[in-house]
Amino acid sequence: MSDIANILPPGDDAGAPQDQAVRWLAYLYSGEATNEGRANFSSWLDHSSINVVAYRNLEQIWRDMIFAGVQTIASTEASDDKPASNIVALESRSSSLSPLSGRRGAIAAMMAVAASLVLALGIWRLEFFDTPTVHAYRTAVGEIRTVSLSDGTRVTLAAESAIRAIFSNRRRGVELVAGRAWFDVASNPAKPFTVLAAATHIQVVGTQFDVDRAPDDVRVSVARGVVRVAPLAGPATRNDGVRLVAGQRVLSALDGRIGPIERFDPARAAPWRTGLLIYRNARLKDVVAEVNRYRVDKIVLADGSLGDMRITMAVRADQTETLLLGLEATAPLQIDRTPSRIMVRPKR
Amino acid sequence: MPDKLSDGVIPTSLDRHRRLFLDRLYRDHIGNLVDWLRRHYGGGPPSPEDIAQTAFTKLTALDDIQRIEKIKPYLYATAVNVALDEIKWIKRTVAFSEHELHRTGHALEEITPDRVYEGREELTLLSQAMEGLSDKQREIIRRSRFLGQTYARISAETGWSSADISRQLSAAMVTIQAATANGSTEDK
Repeated sequence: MSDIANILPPGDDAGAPQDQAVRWLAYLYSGEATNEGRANFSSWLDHSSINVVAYRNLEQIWRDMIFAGVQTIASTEASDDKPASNIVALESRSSSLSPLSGRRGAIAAMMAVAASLVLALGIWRLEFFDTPTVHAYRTAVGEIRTVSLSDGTRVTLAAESAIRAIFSNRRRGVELVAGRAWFDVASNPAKPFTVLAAATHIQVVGTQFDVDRAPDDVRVSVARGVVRVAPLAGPATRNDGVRLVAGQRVLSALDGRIGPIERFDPARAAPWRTGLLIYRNARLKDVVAEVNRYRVDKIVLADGSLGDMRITMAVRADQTETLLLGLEATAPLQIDRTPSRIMVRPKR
Repeated sequence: MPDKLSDGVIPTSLDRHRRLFLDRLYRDHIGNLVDWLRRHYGGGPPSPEDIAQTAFTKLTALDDIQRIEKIKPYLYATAVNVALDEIKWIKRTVAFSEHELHRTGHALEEITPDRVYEGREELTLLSQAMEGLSDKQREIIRRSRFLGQTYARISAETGWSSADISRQLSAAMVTIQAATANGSTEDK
C-alpha cells in the first residue's frame, strides 16, 4: 500500500522557500501528484516571486542531472571514446582544426572546448546507469549470524537486525535497516564502503567497526582503521562529519547530528558477537531495546521516564532472564509478567 | 532499422558532407545506444530502436554538429529525455512544470554545447555533488530521475516506503543544491 499521505506537499509554514521547493519537486515527481496538489503548487508559486525563483533553480538542476549522469557512458562504455586520459589529445586535435573565421570559428572553438569539458566532467564517472545488485539479510529473534558480501566484507548481524547491501561496479553501500551489525570491511581504496543508518552516513576503505541503530540514536564504534561519520545531508559538503580512529565512538541523533567523540577499548568491541551483552552506565531503554532482539516475549517499560535510568550489567544473549532478575534485585523496579509480555514498573 | 540516417531518418535536403557525417555517426553509435536503451528501459513500446532514431533525429537539428568531437553524451542524454518523454505521467509533469514557470515569467534552459561551455563550473559542481550522495540516495535518484519510476514502483522493487523515498530524494536535492550554490568541492 502506498503511504503517499506521508509525502503530501508542504503547507504554508514549511520552512524557507528553498526547502519548500525541494518538497514540491519531490511531490510533483512522485508519480502520485493530484490535481488538487498541483493547484496548491500553483498557488504557492503565486504567493511569492521568491518561491518561483527557488523552484525554477531547483527544476533546472533536476533537468541538468540527466546530462551529468550520462557522463558515465561517455567515459566508461566500451566504444570509440577513450576515457579522461584523452583530454590532452582531444585538445591538441581541436587546435589542429582548420582555422575558421568570424562567428563560425568562434562557435567551433567553443564547441571544441565544450567537448573537452564533456570528457573532463566524465572524470567523475558517475554511474547512475550502472544497475546495482541489492541483497537483503535479516536475522530472527535471538539469532546472531555472519554473512559474506560479494567483495569479501563480512558482516555479523545481531538478533532481529537487517541490512540491505547495494553494490555496483564502483561502489559498495550497506544500509543498516534495523538493529546492530559488526562490519569487517575488505580493503579496496578504489571502491569506498559506506554504511547508512537512519540519517548517519559512514564511509570507510577497509576497517572493523560496529554500528548500533538504537531507539534514539546511532552509535558507531571503530575497532580498527579509520571511518568518517557524517549526517546524511552532509557527504557532499563534508562540513559536519567527524573522523574516527580505532578506540573511538560517536553517538549521532536520528536526524544525523553527531555528538562528541568518546573513547573505548577496541579490544573489547562488540562482545555481542560472542553472545555477551555488556552494559556500562547504559540507558535502560537502550538495554531493553537490545535485549528484546533476543527474546520472543518482549520487555516493556511501563513508564517512559524509566528509560533514562542508568544500568551496568552483563548478561548472556540466550539468558536474558538474568537481566530481569538483576533489575528486581538491584534497582527500584518490579517485574509484572503476562502471557505476551513482561512489564517493568517502579517498585511500589 | 535503416543502415543509414539518409534512409528516412534525416531530411534529404542536407548537403552531402553533413549527410556523410551523420551516416557515420549513426553507424558508430546506433548499436551500442539501442543495446543500452534496451538494458535500462526494456523492449518497449516504444522500442529502443524508435527511441534511438528519435534521438538521432533531434541531434541533427543541432547547429555545427560536425564540430562537436564527442557527440556521445549529447546523444545519450537526448535519448534518455526521449525515453522519459514516452512515460505519460513524466511528460505531464514536465509540461505542467514548464507551463507554471512560463506563466510566472520564467523558463528553463536546455543542455546545448554552448551551455555546457558557459555553465562548466556549475555542471562540474553538480557532478561532484551527485557523486557525494549516499548509495541509497543515488539509487533513488537513478530510479526516479533517470528511469522515470514512480515512488510506488520504487517502493515495490526495493522495499523502501514512499515516505522514505521522498525524504531521501529531498535530502539528496538539498545536498546537491547546497553544493552547487556554495561551490563546496572538498576532495573525497
